[in-house]
Amino acid sequence: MGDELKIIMDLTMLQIMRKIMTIAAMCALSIPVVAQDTGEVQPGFRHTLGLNTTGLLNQFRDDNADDPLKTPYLITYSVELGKLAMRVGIGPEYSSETIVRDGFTDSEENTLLRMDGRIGAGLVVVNDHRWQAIAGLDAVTGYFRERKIEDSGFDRVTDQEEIETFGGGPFIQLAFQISKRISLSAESAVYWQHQKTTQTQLFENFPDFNNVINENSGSDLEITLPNTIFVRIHF
Amino acid sequence: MQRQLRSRSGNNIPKLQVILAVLSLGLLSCQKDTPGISLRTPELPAQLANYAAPEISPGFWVDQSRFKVTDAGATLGRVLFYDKILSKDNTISCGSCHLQEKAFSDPVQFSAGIDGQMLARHTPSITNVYDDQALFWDGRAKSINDLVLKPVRNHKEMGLDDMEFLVAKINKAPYYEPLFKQAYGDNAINKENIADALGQFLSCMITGQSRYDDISCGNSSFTESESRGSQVFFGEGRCYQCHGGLDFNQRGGFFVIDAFPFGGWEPAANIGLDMEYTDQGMGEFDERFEGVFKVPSLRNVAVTAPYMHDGRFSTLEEVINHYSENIADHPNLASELRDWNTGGPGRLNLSQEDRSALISFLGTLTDENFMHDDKYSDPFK
Repeated sequence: MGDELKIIMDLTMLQIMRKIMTIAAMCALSIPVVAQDTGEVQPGFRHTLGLNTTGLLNQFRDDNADDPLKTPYLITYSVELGKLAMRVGIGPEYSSETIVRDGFTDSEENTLLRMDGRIGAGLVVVNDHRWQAIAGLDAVTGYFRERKIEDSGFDRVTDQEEIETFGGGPFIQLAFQISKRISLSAESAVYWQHQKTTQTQLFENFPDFNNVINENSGSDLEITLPNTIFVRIHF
Repeated sequence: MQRQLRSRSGNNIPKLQVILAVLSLGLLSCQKDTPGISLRTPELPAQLANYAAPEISPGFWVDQSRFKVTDAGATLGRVLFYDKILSKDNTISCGSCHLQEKAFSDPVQFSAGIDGQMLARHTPSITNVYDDQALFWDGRAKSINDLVLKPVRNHKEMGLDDMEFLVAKINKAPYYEPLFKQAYGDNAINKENIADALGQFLSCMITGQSRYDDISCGNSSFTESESRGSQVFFGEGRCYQCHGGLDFNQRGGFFVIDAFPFGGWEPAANIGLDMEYTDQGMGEFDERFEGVFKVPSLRNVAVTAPYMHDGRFSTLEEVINHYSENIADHPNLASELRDWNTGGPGRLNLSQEDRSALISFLGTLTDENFMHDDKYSDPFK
């Protein structure tokens, strides 16, 4: 009984300490940002790191929702020099799940990989102390793969779908400066994208019967609405 | 497009979003080792079960001339029926959707095939089909052997369209060689014998030992409510007009529609479920037969819910309500369901007591022995 109580107390202390450390870390991180607000901004390059908040917000959404918002370009880095702005963005996503069944099919593995990237250049068309607008052109590329593996002991069957995209188009970005170091931005774009989709089935013990179920390619225009908020830090 | 793909997968994948793409790729490289074959072996009785056609009662008989079954063939068919390697990804067997305890029907409205794909029609009960010449809801299979491989090949059901692949898989499962040898002799694993063995097992699914059969033989008697239900069924309800005969689906009796699209004399009918059918039934093959579906057997009907080709009615009460007052005046509506005087849809207007009595009567068609007989059970369990 005494030992159990001690363990419970230890766990409680651990939780309290973890919270204190989290708060301390947040304070430590926020001090330089706040402190730098009072400093002078040096002329020259202005570097910005943007974080797409949609992906983070989705973590708190109902996962059963049938329409999880896409999370392109999780991280965007941009650099401005005068009226010229350049940027790169990358958006990786990976998820994996293994279902072990008490039956004939021993397990089912589901993996999903998404990777998208962009590189762009633009002009700062509006720039006052609160608002900034940049218009420019992006080149975009993406890779998506969804894979399901049914492992029955008799065979390991893989169903895979891959999508490769590339393209580009104009964008416009609007940002609101909260402080000298922090801003929020949203953007809209019209991308022409070429897409190639490949669906394959692989049978590990029967490779003679591997096949490509479907393979097609095509192009379309994708309009991105400004429903994604980036939190940006300038340095 | 990507969004569509995610929702189509149907899997609720817990997301772990990582910051670094490199880490993602690293995780992906961790593949599982190549598996060997470690199959669950079917448990079969030391002595072959007896699959001979039963002699049940004077009111129910099996046409021996059309009952082509051997014990070894049916035993092999039983293993094939429950073996999931007959599906593309080894996840679905015939028995996954045709459950013995439900008279080989499925209690869900629409069964799920491979990859969780929902089927378009409700899974029907498969009993007493040894001599059936119009199988599936739309009667497109003309015999059991014509039927058995269609679900295997269907891309939504079992997805194994390549018959060479099917044969290769069965060749690789070690327990099949002696079973095929026993049933067909040497070198017997081929598509035709697979279909034949499955057909033999389906042929053996003879159900005719219900209380109704006992009563027909004079060994038992109806309760008061069942007796009243029997009067409704064979009397003012006119249910027997489509659901008469040995199998309560008029097979062996008269035909229901004037010209069956496949040239046979099997019972099928438009029962006025809708004014416009999204599923055309036999109308898929001939537009004159829009909304016409095979008349199902009523044997074991109390355990084969939901009902109709699309499983729209979840209880027998709902079915009876339909026939009693909700029949739609479709141009193809079976004449048996029309009012003699008005020509419109008939209205039985049964009392609540008569509806309950009819349900009681239908309950007497349940054959518990059939649904618990080991010779039909899953040998892999």
